[in-house]
Amino acid sequence: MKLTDSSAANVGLSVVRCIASSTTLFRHFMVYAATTISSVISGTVGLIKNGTGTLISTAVNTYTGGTTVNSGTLQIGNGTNATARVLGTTTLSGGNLAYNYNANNFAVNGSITLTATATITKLNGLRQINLQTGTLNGGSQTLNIFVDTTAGTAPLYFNGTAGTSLGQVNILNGGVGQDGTGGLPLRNAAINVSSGAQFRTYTSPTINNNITLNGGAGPDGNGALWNESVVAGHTPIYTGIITLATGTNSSVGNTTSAFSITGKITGAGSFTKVGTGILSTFSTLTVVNDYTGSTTISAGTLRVLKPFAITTPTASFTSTTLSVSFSSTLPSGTTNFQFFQGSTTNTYASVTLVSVPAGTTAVYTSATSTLTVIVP
Amino acid sequence: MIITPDENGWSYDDSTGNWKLVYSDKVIIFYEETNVSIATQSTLFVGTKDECEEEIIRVELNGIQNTHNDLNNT
Repeated sequence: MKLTDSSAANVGLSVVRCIASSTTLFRHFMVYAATTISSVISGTVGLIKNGTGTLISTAVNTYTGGTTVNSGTLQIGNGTNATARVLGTTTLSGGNLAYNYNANNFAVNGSITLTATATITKLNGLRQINLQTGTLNGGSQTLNIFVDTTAGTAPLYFNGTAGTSLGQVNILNGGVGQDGTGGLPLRNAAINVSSGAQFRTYTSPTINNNITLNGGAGPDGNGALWNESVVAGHTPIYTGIITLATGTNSSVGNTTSAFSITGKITGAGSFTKVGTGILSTFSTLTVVNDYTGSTTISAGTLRVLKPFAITTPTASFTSTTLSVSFSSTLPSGTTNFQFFQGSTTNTYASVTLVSVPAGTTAVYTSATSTLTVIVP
Repeated sequence: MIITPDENGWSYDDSTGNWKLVYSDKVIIFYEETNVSIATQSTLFVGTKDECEEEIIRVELNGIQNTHNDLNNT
């Protein structure tokens, strides 16, 4: 037998796409073209996947010998399965893992260990899956996550037990979530959210990751960061540094439940608040938001709280002029809009109003950072 | 039928429309209806599904259960 290239091997003169062998402990598959095993693999002999092709397992397997992916991809399910699985620990040591279910599967419970950079792919955008009870041992490795959004925007949640931390998480496409009821297996790692991708939460997790946002509002328009819960009191708290990539505009969204950012928002990018909920940002004495891009509130409320232990916080807006655009009809009479709990160094003797009734006037009071709008 | 190994001990099959059964001792390594060309230095049996199941019973193999017939529960 000789390996010919990355897509095949030769046995004699014959081109081979799958080589199967075994030891007493493992079945070994050298796969060069997509190969499906639909039968249930049972017993105590494990499975080792080599070769650049994809090995697809579509059964509810019961074997207990463990799984190692050294190259290529091991795919669980083929898009028609609801409960395909492998038990025990799947070790990604140069290979990748994919899930393709035809039903929402909230209880995928195998453990995953990384010993090298790996990619986890979730196919079928119509179905959400939760990696629920197994342990993710990241080993300080880099995990790339690709959530296919061709057919829909259903996310991939990592809710299992937290083992050793990952070093880096790259969300390449689609939505990736953490539920506060799980062990937050993605905790501690730096997270990079590609343009158009999304990091989302459910319940009230504390997200300690440093997160870089590269623009966009996620695959569903709800935000590059999104609290998807609609349960009052479900408030994620982001304690890490959120960096807005230069030249990008990233949305952060929530609806009936709140959203808190206690870490620093930094970078040369811009930021847009979307969704009807309240987003609160507040800082410590030594960590103050210093992002330099623009801030847009397209829906809901952005609440900038004063730094702890500071009685009279002061902000300095980067804009030399104040222009306020209203997306809803203002009532007649006087309406006050307080930007944050403190004063600003900017005074803005004149204010430009956009999309308001004729004759509307406004005064900005820097001492209270309040805009008073008077509609005739 | 069991595929006869070549002089180096490799059994090979690239037929289409057949079931392919690879086993070593009493353990099934691979059992699937597939058009993928497959090679092994273990035993390779190629045939219809019924022929493969007869082989599984004859040799008393275990380790993989066909999802429709629950062969050789272990």
